[in-house]
Amino acid sequence: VFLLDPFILFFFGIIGGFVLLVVAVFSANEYNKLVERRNAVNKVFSDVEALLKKRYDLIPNLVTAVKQYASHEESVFEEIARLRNQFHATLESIPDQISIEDQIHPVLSRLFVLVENYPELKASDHFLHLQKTLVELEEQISAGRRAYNATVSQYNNLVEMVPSNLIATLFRFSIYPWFRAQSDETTLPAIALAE
Amino acid sequence: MKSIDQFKAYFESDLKPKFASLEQERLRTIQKYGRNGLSGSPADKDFAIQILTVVYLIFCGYLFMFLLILMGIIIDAYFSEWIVGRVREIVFYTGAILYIVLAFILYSFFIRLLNRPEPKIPNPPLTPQEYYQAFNETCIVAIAEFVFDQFYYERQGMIEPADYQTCQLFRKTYDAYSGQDYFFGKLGETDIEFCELNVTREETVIVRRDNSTSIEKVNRPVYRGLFIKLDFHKNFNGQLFLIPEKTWLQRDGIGRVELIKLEDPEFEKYFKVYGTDQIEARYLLSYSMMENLTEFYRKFSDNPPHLSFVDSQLFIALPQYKNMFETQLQDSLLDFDAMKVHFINMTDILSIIDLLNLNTRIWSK
Repeated sequence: VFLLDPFILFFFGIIGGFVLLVVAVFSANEYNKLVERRNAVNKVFSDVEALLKKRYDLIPNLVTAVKQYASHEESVFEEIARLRNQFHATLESIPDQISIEDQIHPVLSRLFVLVENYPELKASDHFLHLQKTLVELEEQISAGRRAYNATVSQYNNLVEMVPSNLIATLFRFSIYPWFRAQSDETTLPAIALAE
Repeated sequence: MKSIDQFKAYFESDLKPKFASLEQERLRTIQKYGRNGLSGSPADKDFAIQILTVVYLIFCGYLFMFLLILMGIIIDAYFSEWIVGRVREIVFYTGAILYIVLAFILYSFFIRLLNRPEPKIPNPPLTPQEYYQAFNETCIVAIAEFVFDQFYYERQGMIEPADYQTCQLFRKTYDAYSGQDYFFGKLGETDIEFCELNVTREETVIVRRDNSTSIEKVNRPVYRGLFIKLDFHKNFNGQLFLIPEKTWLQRDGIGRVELIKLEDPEFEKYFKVYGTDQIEARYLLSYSMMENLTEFYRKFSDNPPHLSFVDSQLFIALPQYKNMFETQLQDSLLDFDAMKVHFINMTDILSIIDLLNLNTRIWSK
């Protein structure tokens, strides 16, 4: 009887409405933050992808140049061709591309170690030009990976931390994968190319 | 980069003989103008005349009184009272007139003596201003010849205002732009330009004195200090600004671009980074570059450096309030310690090229 009192109902109605409003505003704010961060990740990744495309367009020229002197090193060339095809086949998927990116580095590194055995190749102007372009691109890609990781870190924090994780779960925001840090073995041996 | 020991050897073997004649000039200038270079100035002469006049008049006054007393004693001793009274009056008035006439004659003589034209000597000593100019054109140039591979120096020159505006570190407009000690040089593969800048703007302020208020115009500094322009070893299209935590700049002026958070916590402790592109910012600020910049900041932490990367160039502003390439009349040109300061100033600036590794340009540019 007490709860049916119109004044009490009105009072709880006001309080409930206010709480709902606060929750709605908070949820919208968190949702917007998540969308903003996710867009930032996609934007940075599209910039990185443009750089990766440039590199994959350059690789066939590089392989052709190396093949002229080291045609019997088939396994490296095949591996590079396979990864390049995979890259073009998975252009829309960030996790797949990151996985390919993590594989291509050691292979490219092997290619450059191999070049050390062919002094004529190292002296070729055409090859040197390709190397110079590739190393420059690698520097830009490396910067892109760092920028991507920084943006992903901010986004993933929002997805995983309380209270924004509630909204993230509700609207199915999933975490993004990271680029792995490049170890010394997987970076290109630039000093050897400098000669 | 040349070391201080190499400079000492160069100073002993080459610079000392080269500076010997200017050192003689310095001593002659001191002889004429004093160690502070101020004696012999017109203001000095006026002061001397005033002092001499006062001293002279006091001296004459005493002399006059002494003569009066002496004459009084003589007259009292030999003449009657009436005559004594008349003679006293005559002597007093005549003496007073004589004193005034004499004072005037001697005063004009003093003035004529002090204003007489300087005797023309065949090789007059340099004025302090001429000496300072000769110092920069001889000594600073000789030290720069030792430090740079190639260089151009202009004492009254400065970096073009267009470059100052290109760097975009200073958002405030300015009314007066002046500079000095302009160097343009090359060290290894890197072109470097630097000068001391003094940029001011006129501001209207309300001044309250006692019970009245007035509106006055004052010159406020926009920037004062060393301004450096370097050819950066990587090409880039965007803009990047590195503003130290301790800055005189208004941060809202830089708010037009994005704040970029980087991965090096030590670097982040010293600089706030603003830029137009997240990827390009990291392309320019590689891990090694951030370490180098941290080292650079520590070296110049007294004048926290402000950096901007614009149009494939690097601009550095090091605010400070002293003139770096100037000398004093009392500083001997044959004293290694006095000359060493200029060498250290120059090498400190050029060390930026090594610190930031700007000469390593294997692939780009």
